[in-house]
Amino acid sequence: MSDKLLKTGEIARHCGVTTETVVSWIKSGKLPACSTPGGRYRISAKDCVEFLREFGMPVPEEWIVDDHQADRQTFEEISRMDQLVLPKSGIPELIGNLKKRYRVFGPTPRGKFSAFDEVEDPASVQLDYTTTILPPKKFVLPPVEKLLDFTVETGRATEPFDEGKPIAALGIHPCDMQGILRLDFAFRKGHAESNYFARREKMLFIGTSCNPDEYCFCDAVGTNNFEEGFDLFLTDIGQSYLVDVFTDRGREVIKGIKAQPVTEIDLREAAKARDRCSSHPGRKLNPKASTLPLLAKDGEDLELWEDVGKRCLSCGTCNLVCPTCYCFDVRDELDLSLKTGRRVRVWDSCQLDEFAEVAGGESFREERANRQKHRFNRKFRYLVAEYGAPFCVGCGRCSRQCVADIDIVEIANDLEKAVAGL
Amino acid sequence: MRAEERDSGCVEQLYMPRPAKIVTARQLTATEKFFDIRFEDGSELDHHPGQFVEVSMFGYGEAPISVSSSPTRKGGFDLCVRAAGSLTGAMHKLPEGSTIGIRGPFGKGFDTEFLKGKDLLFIGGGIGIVPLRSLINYVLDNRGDYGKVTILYGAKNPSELLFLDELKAWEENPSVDYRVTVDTGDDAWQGHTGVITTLITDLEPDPDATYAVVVGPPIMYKFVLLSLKSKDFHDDHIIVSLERRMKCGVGKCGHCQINSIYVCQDGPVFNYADIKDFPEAF
Repeated sequence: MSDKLLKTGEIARHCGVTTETVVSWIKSGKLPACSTPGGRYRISAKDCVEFLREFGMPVPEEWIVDDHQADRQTFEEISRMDQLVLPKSGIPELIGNLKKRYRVFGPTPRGKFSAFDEVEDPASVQLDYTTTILPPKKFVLPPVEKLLDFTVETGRATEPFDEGKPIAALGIHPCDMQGILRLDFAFRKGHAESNYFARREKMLFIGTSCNPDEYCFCDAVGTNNFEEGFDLFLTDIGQSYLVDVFTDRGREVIKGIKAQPVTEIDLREAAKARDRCSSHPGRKLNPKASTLPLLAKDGEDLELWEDVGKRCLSCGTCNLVCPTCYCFDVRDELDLSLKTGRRVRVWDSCQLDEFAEVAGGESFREERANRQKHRFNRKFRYLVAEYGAPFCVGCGRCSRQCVADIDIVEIANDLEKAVAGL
Repeated sequence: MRAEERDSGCVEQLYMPRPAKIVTARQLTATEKFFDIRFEDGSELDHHPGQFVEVSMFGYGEAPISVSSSPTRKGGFDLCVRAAGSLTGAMHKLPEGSTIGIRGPFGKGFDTEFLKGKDLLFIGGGIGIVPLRSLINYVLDNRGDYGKVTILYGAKNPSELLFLDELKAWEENPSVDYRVTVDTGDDAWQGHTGVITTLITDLEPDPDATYAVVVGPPIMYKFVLLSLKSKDFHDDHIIVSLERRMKCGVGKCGHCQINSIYVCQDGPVFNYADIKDFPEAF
């Protein structure tokens, strides 16, 4: 049997580091790698095992290549492969498997869009959907989250202990997964927050290929990436899903479900489905994403911010529906007894007047124009240098749901034009 | 620390306050109260001058408060709190012996090593004297390490002057040039009257040897910076401490962001040269 190829994400998860760290090992020559025609790194399992041994890290057994292993594909074998084909009729069984260990959430039709609701009846899940109202950020960063339980009189508090089942999120689009990876970065940066990661590390994410609408622009910000962050990824190929297995956790939940080996035709169909977002973007972002930090800086004093500010109603919807907005407020809630209560954090919005207020009432972002500019800068400028990519994932939610029709792509396009005219 | 080491580092419990006792509480003015705080487990705060803590009162929440004492003075730390909101108002009503919660210290304080050997011009306006006091006392406790020390302090009126005992000691200290002004005097006031910039006019500091440390309300910076520029101060010889409403203290919640920087991580103490181009700074 030939040597198996590993992805950077698999190695990152095993070593407990980020994908960027694995890439830095490759770039520094410590870890040999080749690259696919699409420019993605692949590492031979043999090389990786050698690398792990050299640095004294544990070696997973399944990466040790057994040259004498017979090359046959029994049913058992298929379930151990990294790619397999799952008939759509197998989804209820997958959900059944998930429910044994997880609270399962999946896209369920709600009004014009969908919502990630807890799955009671597998038939209510509609994996073939366009977008959800809220992004799956609500799983890693709940809208209201208890930080402490406290007793007023003693001044003592305890951290909530969550023994409940972890969450499995089904039907996550690549742009939304990229949003979660950006939140991981934000909550790891400087101080890695235990509240966030205790929950996050137990979660399971199953992705699906998506259907862009007129607001989507993921390809322009480089987030149409089905390989990063997922435990499993399901690509719609008609009657079946092509399943990519990225983690052991993912492999565990498809165990025992009847699947077929992958054919050339399946792979071709899958490539087409995954390319749908890239080849049919709903919105056209004219400037290259890499130029946006500079455009935002050069365009800081332009008239266009005043125009956007005049239209903005400061409702904060753009922040709530954004997969990468994570600003929060911390509040205390008292029980009716006034003796006990809890400290919670709740989603906050930089578009609200009081967000940048200090004691004494002075506000440092009093004008709506400045608050809109701040949001744009957070997405395309401030965090970009540190993260290495825009903090906007191109899901289009802020524009789709803005009651004043403020469109982030339109702002970027206008900004490019205006800066060119300076 | 290399990036990957930091990334794989342990997660931290960031939001649990440490119980601390109010040892003494003293009303300083109509709106400011002084608190001597000690951790219940006897540990020291272990802070740098200029850092802040999050004061926690269950039922009210948290508020960012500057530490007012120098780490050279052991056995607890000082907070001086203006009753401006619900938490600070409630804190004013707490009797001595009460328990509060403390998280921190947070942020970057004054670089006391770097300032060694330099002439120092302290400019404190209103409650800006509170964080400034942590550095002034640090410098006075290590007096030989620093050059000329000038302290300018301004308040709206005599009844708002804080730390009267210490002001007297600074005034009598032969190694300190202490000058005070009030915007409006009263019948008993015999000192200087006028805004704080009027004290700068009389000074003749050596702009190459002197570092100005400025802490005050937002409006004060604009005028003090102008005065310092007229005395040929270099931008990087001006150190400021900025006020924002930090909710988390650990660079997550977003409330204290000034353009690309977080006051709770990169500040609250900044070199003016590093932030003068940020439109949201002053």
